[in-house]
Amino acid sequence: MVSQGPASITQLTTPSHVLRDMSEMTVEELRIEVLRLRDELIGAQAEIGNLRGRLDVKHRNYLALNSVHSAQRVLRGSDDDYVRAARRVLGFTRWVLLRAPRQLARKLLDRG
Amino acid sequence: MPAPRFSVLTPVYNPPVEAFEACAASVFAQTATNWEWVLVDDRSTDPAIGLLLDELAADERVRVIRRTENGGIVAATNDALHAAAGEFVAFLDHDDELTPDALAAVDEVLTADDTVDYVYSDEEKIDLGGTLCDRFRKPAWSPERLRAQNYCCHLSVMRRSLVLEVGGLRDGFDGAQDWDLTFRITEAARSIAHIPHVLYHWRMVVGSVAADIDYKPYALEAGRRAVAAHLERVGIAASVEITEFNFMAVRRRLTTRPRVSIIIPTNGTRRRVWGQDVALVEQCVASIAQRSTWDHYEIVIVHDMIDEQILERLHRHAPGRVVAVPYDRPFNFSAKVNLGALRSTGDRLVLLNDDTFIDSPDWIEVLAAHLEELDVGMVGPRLLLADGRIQSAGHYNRFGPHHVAAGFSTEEIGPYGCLTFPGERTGLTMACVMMPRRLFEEAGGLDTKLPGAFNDVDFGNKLRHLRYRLIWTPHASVYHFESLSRDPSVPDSDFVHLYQRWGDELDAPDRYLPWFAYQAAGLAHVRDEELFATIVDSKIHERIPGLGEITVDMLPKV
Repeated sequence: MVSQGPASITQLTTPSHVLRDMSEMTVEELRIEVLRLRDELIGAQAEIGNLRGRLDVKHRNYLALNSVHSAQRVLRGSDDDYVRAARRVLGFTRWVLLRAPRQLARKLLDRG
Repeated sequence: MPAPRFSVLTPVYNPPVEAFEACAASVFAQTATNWEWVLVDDRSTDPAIGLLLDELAADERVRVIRRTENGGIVAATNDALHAAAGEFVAFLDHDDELTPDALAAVDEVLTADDTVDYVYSDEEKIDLGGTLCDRFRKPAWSPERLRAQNYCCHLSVMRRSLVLEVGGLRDGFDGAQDWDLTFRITEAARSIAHIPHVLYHWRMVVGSVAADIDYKPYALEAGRRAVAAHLERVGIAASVEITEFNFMAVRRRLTTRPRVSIIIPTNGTRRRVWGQDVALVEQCVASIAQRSTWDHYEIVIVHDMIDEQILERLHRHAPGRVVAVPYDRPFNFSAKVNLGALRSTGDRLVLLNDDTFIDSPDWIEVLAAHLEELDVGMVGPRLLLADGRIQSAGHYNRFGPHHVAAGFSTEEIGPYGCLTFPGERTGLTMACVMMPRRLFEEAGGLDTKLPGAFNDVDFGNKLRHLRYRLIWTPHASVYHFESLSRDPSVPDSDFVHLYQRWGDELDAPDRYLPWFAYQAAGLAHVRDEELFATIVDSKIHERIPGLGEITVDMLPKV
């Protein structure tokens, strides 16, 4: 139970949050799906916080070294593929996850 | 003239002259400028002190108040408090020293967050020869730990209006008056901040608590009463005892009768334990049934590939309590636990590995009592190896998550006694933990993308993300024959997933046991922690077989 070090930054961009087809799920499967989505939501929030922290560090470092104009360009992600990709994935993920539990709750209620 | 930001409060009674001069020099050396210093002379009999106070009073930032009779530290400090004009009060003893940046560092924190009512910092002692030693790297705000140990202590800076509101220092707590005040302030504070830097040098002089608590036995009893009074105010049913190491042992009483569901995932593995070939789950269930004093529980066995005869024997060991839940998918510890939780009926969930053996008969009561505090999300016992050494005292982070005190003797008290009392942790080993069902569900159960390792690290982080505290307690023990029932290796994908979520936090110094390995290795006095962390981690790796190697890219930038 000891880490082998931080993951490579290129490995961090795989989206794993996909809503599954719930039409054929039993109540127990739906309850497990609710657990999974809650887990994904917290995980996504943590990832966003993590990335925000990295962006802040990036921002501070850049400000220290370059002009304000260049720093604004970095914040937009225009010259950083990783940050740009990660922000896009996480933005979409958060959008999906914030709505999914309500959709599931409605399904559970409909099934009595 | 506008009120100063800080009032430094110093009751004075016959300090060693040189120490008092050093104390004064440390105040005048502050890089911050918006302070005043309020000194209350409690009828010192040393004429040299009187002369020194006269000299100090010549400075416009200093106010000297002379009491007409000796009243003790509580009365003198309260006089200083009532004379103070600053927005915040900082407590400085007459023979101690502030670091030059102390008030500036506190000011920075207070400016960044105006809801902070109480700030404390790390501290370091000055030995009898004048050398700095015994650097105390303190945890982030840890109310459970404060009940066992006055760890906040120096430097403490409090919002003056709040100190007055709670009544200042109280008579009857001499020797632990600061601990008592810390309790009352933290009960009322909107937020509390810890500065992880040494801002205070506490001088060890003969007869001081810094040198030896045994010099002031009355302080221990006053401390015990301060803890008891705090527990009563916050509604925790418990008794308080002084331990052999001069900490406080809070013995909680369970005031409710929750139904407990003990969830045990298993595949019926047989292993040799304590010289006998046993089915691990059978031994585990038998120990629960035979040893536990709590009787309101069920045992949910989530099983695959298990021998039917074992299942029958489980029913015989714990008649009427075993719920068998078949699991027919590929191995996934997290999925098994989630399924077991859904099938269980208790409002307290215990997640228990099958390679465990109950040691403390009152283990359920001890764990459940902590959960009566609503902001406690999960609690875990002391886990022991088969040979009686500690397997885990919770988790701490340092280049990733580690077990606290793995391989230590149970006789070791740990840095600043942290292995002798319950305290906050960044994570708990899921071999045995208890949590409220509602929090298990709120946190989304265990992450099924972590089928073997690190699901406990991830789950603990999720609970802390939701603002719950995790508590480890040495007051209950469970044997854990670690990884006997499965392959202990961890696939790379688990690391990737864990770092994807929690990233930098896993590599940073731990919030609750900062530099644990470093301090446990007896290197608390070393000041350049970044440099020496590498050495310490190497020492710990030598001590605990099976831990991974440190690689160059994991080393801190020095």
